Amino acid sequence: MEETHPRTKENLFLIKAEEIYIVFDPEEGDKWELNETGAFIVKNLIEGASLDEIKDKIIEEYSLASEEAEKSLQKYMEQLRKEGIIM
Amino acid sequence: MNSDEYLLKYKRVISEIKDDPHRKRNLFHLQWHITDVCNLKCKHCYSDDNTIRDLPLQQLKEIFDKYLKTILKWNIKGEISLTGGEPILRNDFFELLDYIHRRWEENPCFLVSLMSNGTLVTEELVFRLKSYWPMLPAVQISMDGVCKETHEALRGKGIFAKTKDSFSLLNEHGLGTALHFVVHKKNYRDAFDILELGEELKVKRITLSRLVPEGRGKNLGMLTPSELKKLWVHLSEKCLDFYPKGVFLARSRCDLWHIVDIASALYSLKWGAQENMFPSYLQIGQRCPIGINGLVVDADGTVLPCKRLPLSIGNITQDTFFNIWYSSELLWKFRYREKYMKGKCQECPFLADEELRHLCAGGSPCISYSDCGDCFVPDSQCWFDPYSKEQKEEVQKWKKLILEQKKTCSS
Repeated sequence: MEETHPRTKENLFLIKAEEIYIVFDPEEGDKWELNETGAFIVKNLIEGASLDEIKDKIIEEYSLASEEAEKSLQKYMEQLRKEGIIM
Repeated sequence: MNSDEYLLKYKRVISEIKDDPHRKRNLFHLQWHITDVCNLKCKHCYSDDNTIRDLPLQQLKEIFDKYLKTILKWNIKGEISLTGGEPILRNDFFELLDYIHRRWEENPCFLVSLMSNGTLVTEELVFRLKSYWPMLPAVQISMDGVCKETHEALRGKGIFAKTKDSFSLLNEHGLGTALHFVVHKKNYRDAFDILELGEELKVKRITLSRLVPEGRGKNLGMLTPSELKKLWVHLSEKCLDFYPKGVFLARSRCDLWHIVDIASALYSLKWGAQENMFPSYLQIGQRCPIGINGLVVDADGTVLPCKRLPLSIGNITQDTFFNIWYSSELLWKFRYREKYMKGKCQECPFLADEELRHLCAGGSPCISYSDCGDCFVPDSQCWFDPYSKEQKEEVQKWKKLILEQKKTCSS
């Protein structure tokens, strides 16, 4: 993976609102709805976890094989970057 | 009139009204109480506190900027209702309006209306207000009786004629007028003649609110469900004759108008769902808009879901609309109200049915809250009986006929 500690956009808030997860910027109003895995990754990124740490947590949380977890994480990271959640 | 006759008449009347001056779609409404100061002490007021919590002008400007930023970000239209207290009583009222107007000239993405008690309207004031047209197209004035005795018993002596004159002044100068009436035991009789008063005063829109027994209005007396039904049926039948005269009764509120005539409510729901097809003021019934299209900012910046529901969800002087909107747990509960409603509402097609819940989803939470401290119990003035086979079948019959028919005909 290219970066070890990707940074999210500053001051993002992540909330679980009833059935959905929302990450939003309270100053600029940007808002994204995430699924559970996306929210799991963003929560860890906001808390400053490295990609390796997040991968380990995914393996533990979702009982995935290392390769599968890495693939899944990369896919999400691409999406989060595209959306501007990750700088 | 039975449902069939009423629906026919309703369809005929709306097909005759081509113009849609009040169309409101995709907007974010801000009811903004810019002052606590008031020159009246109305008996039904939801406030019984004389504390003045007004913010300085600079802070009001900042609040407005936050609001503008929000609607621009969301790319939707804005609508601000300036109210109080009596908003005109702020010394810097016109400075604030000037500020808002300058922003409007840069980006006319919002409208402003004024909600006043109508006792301080002078020709000079109307001239100044007119200078903000079309940003400020209309003024809403409160009338709580159709005669001097009732109105003055509730709002104060010597103001009935003055308030009526205010409508004339505003109309003469080309500003639209709307009339707001809070109905309860003490003005129940008068409410039956509100459309005639509206016609006399040449108002464009009449809104009736049910009393929320809070503050000074705590002991005025709410209507019973059968009293409310009688009044709503009377006004619903009569209002169709007033549409061609340009007097509209706002029935697209969370005030149980839909159960007066289910057929027409479903018809308005079907056509209202289609963008630009149906004027919003001709819709009948609406689920409570809390958490969907607006917020209230009180005089000290406290943000409320609705002025009639006194539950603070933040303070805009220290926060953003974005943060309050997305992170308030209460607002999220309202957005998923169908999960939280209790009692008979869970059995009701106007909550349980995904399509029909746009018309109600539990009535007015402010009524429930003031009645028993819980926003998620059934509206105590609702007379619909979801356990009645007959009433359920009536809803299903019209749903099949109206909502489920192919959308081939035009409005």
